[in-house]
Amino acid sequence: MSDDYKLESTGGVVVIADLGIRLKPNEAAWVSRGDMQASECLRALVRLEKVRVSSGARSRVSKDPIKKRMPTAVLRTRPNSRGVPASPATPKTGLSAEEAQVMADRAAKAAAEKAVAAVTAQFQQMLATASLQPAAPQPNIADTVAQAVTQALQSVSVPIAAQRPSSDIEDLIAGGPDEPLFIPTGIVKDTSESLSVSSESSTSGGLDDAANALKALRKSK
Amino acid sequence: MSAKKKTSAPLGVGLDIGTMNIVSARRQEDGSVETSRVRDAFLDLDQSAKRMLKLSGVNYIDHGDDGIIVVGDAAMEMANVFGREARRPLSQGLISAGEMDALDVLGVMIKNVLGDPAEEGEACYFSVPASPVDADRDVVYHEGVFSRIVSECGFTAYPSNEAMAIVYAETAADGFSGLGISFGSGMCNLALAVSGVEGLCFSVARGGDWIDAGAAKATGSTQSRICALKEKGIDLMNPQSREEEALALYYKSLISYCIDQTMREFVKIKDRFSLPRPIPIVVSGGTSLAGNFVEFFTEVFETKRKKFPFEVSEIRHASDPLNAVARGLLIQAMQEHDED
Repeated sequence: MSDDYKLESTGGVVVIADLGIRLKPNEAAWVSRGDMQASECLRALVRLEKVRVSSGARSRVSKDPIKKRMPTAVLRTRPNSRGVPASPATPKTGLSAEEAQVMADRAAKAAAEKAVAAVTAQFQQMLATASLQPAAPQPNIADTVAQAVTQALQSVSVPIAAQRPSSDIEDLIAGGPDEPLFIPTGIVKDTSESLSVSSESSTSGGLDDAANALKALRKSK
Repeated sequence: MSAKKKTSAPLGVGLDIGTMNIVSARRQEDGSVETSRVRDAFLDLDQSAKRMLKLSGVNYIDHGDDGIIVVGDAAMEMANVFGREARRPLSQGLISAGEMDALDVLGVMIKNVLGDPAEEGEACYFSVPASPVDADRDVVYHEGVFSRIVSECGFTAYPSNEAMAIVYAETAADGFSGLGISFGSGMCNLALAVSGVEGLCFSVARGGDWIDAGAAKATGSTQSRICALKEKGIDLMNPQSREEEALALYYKSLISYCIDQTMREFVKIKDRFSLPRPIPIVVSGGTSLAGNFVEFFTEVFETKRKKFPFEVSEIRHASDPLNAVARGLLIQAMQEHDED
């Protein structure tokens, strides 16, 4: 970092007598740190805000890169007197497309057989280990398969979608759409007490008419 | 139970299961309609009260060491004697799962109100409220319990919407078109039908009990006192005391709420349900027995008529507000035995 300080006049022409500097507007002068600290005239002028002092350190911020003008249109080749430009020649491998397909299929089949053999071996080994430990809890089949596949195909991760905590399963049973509704039987006892019930008779008051009208309405439908 | 009783009276029974009353309706041989009613309340007492109940001639259910249970109107009277609150098997129009005490009581009450079936498997239409739009309540258990009770009484049980029963009972002259509103104790049920076809059915979890509780809270009184005042008779258009003014305010709020909910629910069906002509609104239920209820309802309705989504020809009271639901259910039950 540079020790120079930049001096600028805030107004008109300023003379810093003890440094022998004459500052004009829009001009700058550079002084060393020692000169700046030694100059009483400069300190007085700074106090009077006649001179502005700023650090001489260069800015570390890089300038914006020069903006390149983007093309306004894409230039395309077009037929000219020499005809349509030829596309770049494809590298020759010595194989036809059909041959490449056959090779890919063969490689995929071999890889699949290898993966199945590895998974089967891992699975059988895990089951054998589990059967040798009678006190151990029953292995979860989903977990076992997932572990076998994971170990056989190291880089492959298998999401265990079927694994759910038991409480969730209980929730499913309790809150499903076919939730059973318990309604006890034997609510009405044969030996029920007789209560005093207030009864009154009234004329049918159009009840027959309403019943007939409803019957006719239902018949018409 | 005598299952093979012969009678010349038309078969079929209507059963209105409400929070305050259980009412049955049945045709008699002379063509009249007999309605039987029991108060939907009970009171559990110690064995020590047995002697007093015997002396006063009150019927009770003896549960041995578990005490005794007084059921119906007597429960309300005994509750006053013992300074207790009578218990209700239903809350806000519905029975709650787990209320095992209430089940036995309901079994006794319904058996007594229904009586024996005139023949094995006689049709019994019983009322079921619609699902409330403003509360998370399940009507499936309610319907299942009462189907079981009615079946165990020897009837063939048919659940039917409470408010639609009002439409069947009161709008035959209008071609079974109308908006039936049952202002009950626990809730209000509403059903809109055209030519007997149900277009809209819902309930709100507010009713007479909500009015009592609100007015009691507003006036620093008790709910039972407000209820007694209400049942004694109150003129909604001319309240005479501070309590009556509070009651009128809550009545107005309930009516306004029901109208608003109807407007809201109708929006959901307006594209698939047409109303070719103006239809009547029929109000019913125990809460509608207050003086000048229909005039009061009309006054509130008129403030909302412009926004109401369909034209209303008239607003009228059911011919028998306490028994209209049971009668509407009876009309439907009679159809089951119609041989034509």
